[in-house]
Amino acid sequence: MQVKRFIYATIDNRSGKPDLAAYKAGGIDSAPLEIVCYRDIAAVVSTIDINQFGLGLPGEIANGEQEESHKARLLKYQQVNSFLFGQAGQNGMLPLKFGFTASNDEEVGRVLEQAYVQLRSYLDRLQGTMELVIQVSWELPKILQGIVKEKPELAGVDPVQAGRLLFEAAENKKRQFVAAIHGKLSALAKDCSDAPSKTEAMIFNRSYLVDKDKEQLFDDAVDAVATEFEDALTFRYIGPLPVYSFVNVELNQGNFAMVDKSRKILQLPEKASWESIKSAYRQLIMAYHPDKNPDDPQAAQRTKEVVSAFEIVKAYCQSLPGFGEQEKPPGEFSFAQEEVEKAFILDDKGAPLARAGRAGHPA
Amino acid sequence: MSKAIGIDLGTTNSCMAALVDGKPVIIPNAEGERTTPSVVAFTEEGQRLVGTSAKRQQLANPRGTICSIKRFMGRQWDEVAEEMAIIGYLVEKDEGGGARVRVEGTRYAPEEISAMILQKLKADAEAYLGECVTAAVITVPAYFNDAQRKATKDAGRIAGLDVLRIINEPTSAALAYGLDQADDQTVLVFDLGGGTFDVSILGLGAGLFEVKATNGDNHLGGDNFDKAIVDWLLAEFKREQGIDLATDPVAMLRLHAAAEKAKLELSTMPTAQLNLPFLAATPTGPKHLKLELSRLQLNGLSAPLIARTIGPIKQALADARVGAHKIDQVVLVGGMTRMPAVRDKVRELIGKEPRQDINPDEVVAIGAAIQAGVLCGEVKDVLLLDVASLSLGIETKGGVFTRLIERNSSIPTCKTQTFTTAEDNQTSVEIHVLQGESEMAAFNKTLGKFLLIDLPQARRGVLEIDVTFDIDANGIIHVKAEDIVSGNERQIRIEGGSGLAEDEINRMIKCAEEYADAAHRLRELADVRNHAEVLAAEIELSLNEYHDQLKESEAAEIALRIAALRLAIGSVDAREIRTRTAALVEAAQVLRYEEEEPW
Repeated sequence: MQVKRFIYATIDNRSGKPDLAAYKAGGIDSAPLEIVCYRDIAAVVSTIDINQFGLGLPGEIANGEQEESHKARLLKYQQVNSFLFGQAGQNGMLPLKFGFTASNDEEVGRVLEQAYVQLRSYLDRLQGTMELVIQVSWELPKILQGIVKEKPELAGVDPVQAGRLLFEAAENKKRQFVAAIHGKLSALAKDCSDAPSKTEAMIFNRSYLVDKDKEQLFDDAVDAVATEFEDALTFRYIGPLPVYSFVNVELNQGNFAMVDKSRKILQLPEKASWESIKSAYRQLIMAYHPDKNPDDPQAAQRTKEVVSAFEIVKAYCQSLPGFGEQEKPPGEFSFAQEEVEKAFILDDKGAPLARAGRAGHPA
Repeated sequence: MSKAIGIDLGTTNSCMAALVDGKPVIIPNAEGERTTPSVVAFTEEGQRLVGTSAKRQQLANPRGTICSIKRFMGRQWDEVAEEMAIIGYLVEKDEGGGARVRVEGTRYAPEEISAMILQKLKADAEAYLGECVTAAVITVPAYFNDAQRKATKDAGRIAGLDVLRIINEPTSAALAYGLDQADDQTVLVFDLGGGTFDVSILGLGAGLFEVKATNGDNHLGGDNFDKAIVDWLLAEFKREQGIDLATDPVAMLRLHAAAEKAKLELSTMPTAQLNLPFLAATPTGPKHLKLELSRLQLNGLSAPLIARTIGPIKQALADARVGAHKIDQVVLVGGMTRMPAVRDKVRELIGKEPRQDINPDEVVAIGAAIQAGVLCGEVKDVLLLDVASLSLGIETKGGVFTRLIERNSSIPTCKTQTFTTAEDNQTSVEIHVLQGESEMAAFNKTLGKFLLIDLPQARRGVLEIDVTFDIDANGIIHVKAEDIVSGNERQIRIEGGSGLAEDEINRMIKCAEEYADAAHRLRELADVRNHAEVLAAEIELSLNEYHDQLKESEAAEIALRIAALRLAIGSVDAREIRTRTAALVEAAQVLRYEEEEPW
């Protein structure tokens, strides 16, 4: 049995810990939930057996069927997050992407330490908010009948042409509906995010980020808009949920071999400032790029190496405290082994590093 | 030596430029215009027109006039519903699900129509530059996917051009602006053209143009603004006259033309008059449309469209990890950025006065010409480091899209990730290559599929299969899957999911060459005819004057040969005309008629 700590969420710890004992069901595979703190933030974790779980292994190539046990674990992950969300009250809580694990509590602590600035700012930004999902479907045949009634002249047009006009009119209607619904709701929300339609009939599947104290207002607006269109559309209103659609944090442990190799490709010393890293990168690109060396078959390969090396070095530097969004990152970054191994690389875009980082995992 | 040019193949207008003595200049077309309408027309007489002449006859020939073809490039028929609402010609679904234009019983691929535009540009550039044009850099919207890029490249090939590179329009604009920039800068390019909206963020420094992020809306452009005005006109007309013009294609085209004109006027004037007499006929007499549109009204009509630019801008800033305050320059591209409300929105969002000192209709072509110069070694101190504008990956268990290359990764690039099998003793895995931003494979675009077979027997999760994505500087994607233990490997080169097959392209290249030959022959015939007509007229004049000094038989022979030549001129046989001309000249020797220019 190979155990790991599965991290469900990061929570704000300033006004006391959540009452995990009250949550009898436990986490994935019924393991008890526990908490790991760092300063005023904390991670909620439970132990999993990764051999059972399949996580931590590289991704498995689709074979078309979804495993029931996987679904059950995903459901559990969502239930735990809903519970934490309920407990958080006006405090922020950040559901982490399903599948993030660490070797032990010490490593969880290091994750929180390294990513503290980013997690803290996420928590502050999302404090007191929730996610509300609106899914809207229509019955296309009914809509089409309506259009034909509005435009009786379509009957006279030849069938191909009429079909096209009908189709266009339906598309137009769809856009009008979406614009009308969104128009009524967007002012009450802080942000929104689209998810793909789940069925053919679904014309709208959008998550709204709403302040908790505006929930009633938002409910009323949804009611009003659902009533307005009740003849034509079916509304599904889901929530409140943890803000899944508005955080996308992935964390990866620093891989010294990879960062070190990348640093050497960029011909950098063991300590370098952000400016000198950028300038080294540019010089190498200008020198190696195939557009500058059309007759050199090695040019493309060398450029790719420089590009990937820079991505890795950049992600590493960005993960270090103090990088942030400031004008110029202060001081120099160290590429010493102990520094790199301590680092956790956080990427809220879904991570270029994540991929490379995983190469170091045992298969 | 042959020349490489830069071409901005636009939705409504195209533009070309080339380096002349190291400086980029716009190449005017044969009509002397700096931009060429991207319109191809097939007349009832079987003539093919491209550019202004095609656009001019659109009202009379709505079904045979193809405009906005760029909106159909590399798209499946199912994807183009919004486009169909705007056009007046017929688009059908072909056997493979692609969109095809049907005119006068002939089906054309969008690539073929685009190639006709490129062919004209190429011919006009050759005439202007006085040298052969064999290669080009062509620009596309940043948000074009692989299939759309491939289609554009194929259009170039069909037109007889070696497409050196497909580059993104906003990137190209930055190249045009940034040549003289020495300092580090962050530039936001806002490109609202005829059919698409693009936003790009670039870092400039020491000659390196590094694209940081691109985003956009493939379905947003000037055409949509025109349509908003047309919809308003339709509603007004219906309200006043009770007549719905939407089903009358000629009335619709007139409305579109009037809407576009009014939109342009409102960029400089507070109000525009729309005056369309005899728009409809009823038993009570003809109906006219006479309306006034104010800039304020237009702003109201276009507010929802302009609002659609905000999301992509915010996303691009987030992807590039820069705040709006860190943008040093804002560059406007595309005719739609002349609209004051659009400029106001950009200024409001970024908090900077946008630059527009290069003509927004020409700036993209200029950048493309510079990139052509870079690729030919003519421009030394500039390098464009482009990005993959959409994420790439494969389908993994549960229909999940696993990204290997994130959007906005610099190219060329190469990424490898290790995967494994999902079942015990699985003998093969299917690698389903996709492009897009959805977490679910089903919502992204399939680029290709291939099987890795003969896997050794093993429990699930044991085998290591390395999947490698490789994108070269041209954006061409290679995918390789390798079973590490056995060394068994398979790879594909992605050719664009819905693109044309190689033999189709070759057939189209041949057609285009034949057309070029035919056009060449027609010009030659016209020259021969002109010459013969002038000659016949001159000799006839001399014959009448000197008739008395000639023998009767000589005079009769000359008159006969004049008649024969005139008969030949009526035919299309250039050789026959030449023979008859020579014969007449010979007979006319007695008149001491000497031709000034020998044949």
